[in-house]
Amino acid sequence: MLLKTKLKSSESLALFQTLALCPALAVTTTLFRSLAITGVLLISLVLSAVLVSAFRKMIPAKLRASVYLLISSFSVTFVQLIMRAVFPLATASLGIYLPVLAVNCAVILRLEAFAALNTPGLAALDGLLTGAQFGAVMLGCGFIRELFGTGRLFASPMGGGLKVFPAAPVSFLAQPAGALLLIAAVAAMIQHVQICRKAKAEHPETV
Amino acid sequence: MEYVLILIAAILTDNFVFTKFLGIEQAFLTSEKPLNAIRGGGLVTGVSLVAGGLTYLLYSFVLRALNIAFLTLPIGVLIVVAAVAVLEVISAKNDALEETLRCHFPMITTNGVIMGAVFLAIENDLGIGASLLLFLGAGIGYTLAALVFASIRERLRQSNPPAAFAGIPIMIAAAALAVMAFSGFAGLHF
Repeated sequence: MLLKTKLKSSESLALFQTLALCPALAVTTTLFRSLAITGVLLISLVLSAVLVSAFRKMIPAKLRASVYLLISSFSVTFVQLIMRAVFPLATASLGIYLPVLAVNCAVILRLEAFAALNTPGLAALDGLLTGAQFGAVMLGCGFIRELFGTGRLFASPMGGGLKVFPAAPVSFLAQPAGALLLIAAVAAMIQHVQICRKAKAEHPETV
Repeated sequence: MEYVLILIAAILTDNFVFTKFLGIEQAFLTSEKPLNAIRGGGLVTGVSLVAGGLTYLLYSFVLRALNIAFLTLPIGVLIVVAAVAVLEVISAKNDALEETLRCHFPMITTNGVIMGAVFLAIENDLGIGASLLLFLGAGIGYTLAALVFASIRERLRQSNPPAAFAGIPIMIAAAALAVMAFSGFAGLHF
């Protein structure tokens, strides 16, 4: 069954995609972990996009959501094995969030919306762009949360890093609720800019 | 006593939705009404208990013994998909039941709570009894979160936020406040 048909209005789809990123956002307490999860997301998304698009004519319509889930779980497993061999520290710091990435709604929705309808080359490009988009959000979130939540930058699980502030300026940001509040603030800012632009376009002389 | 602690931790102090953000999108979106939230939560609890238990059993007795533990993720996803398919077949026989449950089915397979609980149990090497309690607690915790979000959304529908916050931002901010409230349980020690 299509996930998307369940989300009637486009607003709830946007909300859904924002919230679907949240499991990944919970990891972004430091830039190091954000970078690790971005890498896994990017590679596994491109891999599953190519696979879904290569097999798109063989996947029965009724079972497609399940097949996408399976393909996504296989590509995450593949990336996990490589990551564990190359960057053991980064993989360990992600913990349960790495396997859970396979059942992430944002990924499955994107596979359904684009990769299932296009050729492998285009699907790979779309996977790369979507992954970069998600990655930019996560890296930004990781940067702000590490800088203001802990007062340091570029710290790895071994410690170290650049000391920017003597103490954590907003230690609340390091907590899970901080990530959500940060996203809410950014979303409100984007909406405010959109409203201002709309007002300007409608009444250019008053603003 | 240790088992009670695992259950309480999964429901309150380490609630999967509030502290790990797993399944937060489903908890938020399937909960237009409190009754819907309870139904969806009950389904997630059932699938988590059955599919999670099966996956953990397979992992500890087959996959680990054969040294192919890395296949846990695809096999777990497969079991969850199969469990949801079985539930769909069962509910198809009863029209009233199907009507009420249909909107929840596609959401369960992508629910991070179930796989998250399985991998948490594997990471901590809990043993089968404790794992089953963890899966049960994860499901109950999800239901609780969905119920909290349903009440928040009912209240938000009557509120009048500033234009910049209307719609998505106020919902995320409200969710953040709920998460903050739940972080108070972190001080719960025995």
